[in-house]
Amino acid sequence: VIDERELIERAVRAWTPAEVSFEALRTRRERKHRRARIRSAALAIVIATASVGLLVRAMRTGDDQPASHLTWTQVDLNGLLPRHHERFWSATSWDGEYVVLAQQNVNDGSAMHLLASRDAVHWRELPPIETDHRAFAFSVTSDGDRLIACGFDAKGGAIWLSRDATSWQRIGLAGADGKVFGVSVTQGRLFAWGQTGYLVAPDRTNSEMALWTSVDGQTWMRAVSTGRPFGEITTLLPTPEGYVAVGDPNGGAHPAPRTWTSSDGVHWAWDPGQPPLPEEAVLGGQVAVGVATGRELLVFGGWADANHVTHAAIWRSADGTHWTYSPVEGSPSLIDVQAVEGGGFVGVGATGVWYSADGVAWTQQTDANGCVLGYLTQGSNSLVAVGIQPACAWTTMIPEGATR
Amino acid sequence: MERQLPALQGDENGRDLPPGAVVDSFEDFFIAEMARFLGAMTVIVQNRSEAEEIVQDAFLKVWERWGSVRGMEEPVGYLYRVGMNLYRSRLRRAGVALRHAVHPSRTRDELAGVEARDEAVRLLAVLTPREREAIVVTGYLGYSSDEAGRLLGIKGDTVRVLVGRARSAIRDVQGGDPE
Repeated sequence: VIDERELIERAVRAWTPAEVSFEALRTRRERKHRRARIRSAALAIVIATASVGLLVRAMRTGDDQPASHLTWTQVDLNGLLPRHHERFWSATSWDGEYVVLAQQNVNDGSAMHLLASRDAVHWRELPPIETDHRAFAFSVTSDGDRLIACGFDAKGGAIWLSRDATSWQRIGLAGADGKVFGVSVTQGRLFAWGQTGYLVAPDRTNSEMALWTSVDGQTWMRAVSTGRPFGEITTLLPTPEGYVAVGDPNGGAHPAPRTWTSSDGVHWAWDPGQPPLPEEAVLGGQVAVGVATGRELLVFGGWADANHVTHAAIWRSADGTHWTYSPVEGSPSLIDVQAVEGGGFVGVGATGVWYSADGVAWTQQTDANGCVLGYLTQGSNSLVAVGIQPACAWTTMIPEGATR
Repeated sequence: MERQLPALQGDENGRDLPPGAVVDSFEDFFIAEMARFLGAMTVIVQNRSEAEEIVQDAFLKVWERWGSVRGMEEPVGYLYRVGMNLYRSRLRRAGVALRHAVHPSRTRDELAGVEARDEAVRLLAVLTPREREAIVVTGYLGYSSDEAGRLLGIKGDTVRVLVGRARSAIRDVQGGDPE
């Protein structure tokens, strides 16, 4: 007869597991919270498990009626979200509506919610994407006709397409056993980026960062990078010659803004003309979001000095290859930025909504009642900002003359 | 050999939480449960560092929800369930990853070292992860098959089958073992 209890107790003694002290747990918790705060402050946007699916729109920037005095109003979402700790992960405009994606961790998986609104004030819940209970969507965007979401499910990294926001088609990406963090539509071509695998052990992974591209959304191919593999891509922008992807080649270990360029979207090269960092940036720098105005590319981010103090930064380029750096005034901690038609930029982040006429000097428009805002989307006459911590939404009407 | 929740009724490891007890302080809960939870997870996971990671992450999840968990009838059961879910999640990911892995993992090296030192470890190592979960939750933690089933997210009958297979596998190894 086997005495199972004794057998297992002997095994436990043989393994001699190390003690975990409450102090160690407290330290781990503080580290986790610190990471979350840093993420919210936009310097660590590009970490592996919480890519924020940044919205990037190529928009014309005029020179009249800048949206410098927008009045923001909090949207009442009571009743549409089941749990107070749910958070929005992404937002986009599609078919005359605003669509936001919310994701909630539940005990044995996750639950996905899609909300839609025509006026940014009255919202309704859309049917969730039908998939398995482990599915998680990081980002949603639109190519005009379709909603395009990206994330992962039990089968691996995936793209989901829908023309009616009701029925969705799942498309697996070749080699994507991991997660697809971001998706964008740039100059008519679709791009998605993410991980090819998983963490095998706490200190070992077989995963690498990858970029996929598609013309029709149905057939995807993995892009090729010569010179240096893709890093964690944050933003993908159009250039006069094609495309530039901006990200971090080191996966956050020794962060630095770096670029890869391509003329066809399939073949990419590690670009020698990299965005410069100031000498004081001894702890590196990272990119939060990029915007293409039609005249130039602007990439917002920050860098950290030897005292771990972070400084907001902007890098500008006309061609995606040659970049200049300048400090940002106003400490806006930007996570997402939109070039507003009519002139100027609206940005959101850990400290609410900000406005800048030139991308350099920023003034706060609202503190959003402490909500960390992560996404901006622009419709026919409104801007909608949604929060990532906790789920919340703010909206503003764009003044007459500053709209499309 | 099922016991009716002896692990929840106080034991030599300093546990003093009766079923349904409300523990106000998360720290008290952590101190009461940590050693046993870590021991159980180490045997199930067969890897010290990974078990430690899972145990810490599970406690953190419980801590984040402590306001509601503390009032649960079985906060300990909730802790184990979270731990099992985290383990399975890692197992699933590692399974996908290992299909592509070229080098043998450190887990096997560490296991081989511990196996060489102790027969009990060697006997438990022949079990599948699910069999090991079932026998640890019933035989070590003392849950009944039905309770273990709820904790593991499977039917009580399935637990009984897994425990039966585990016992049979252990007997087979013992029978063929000259020691």
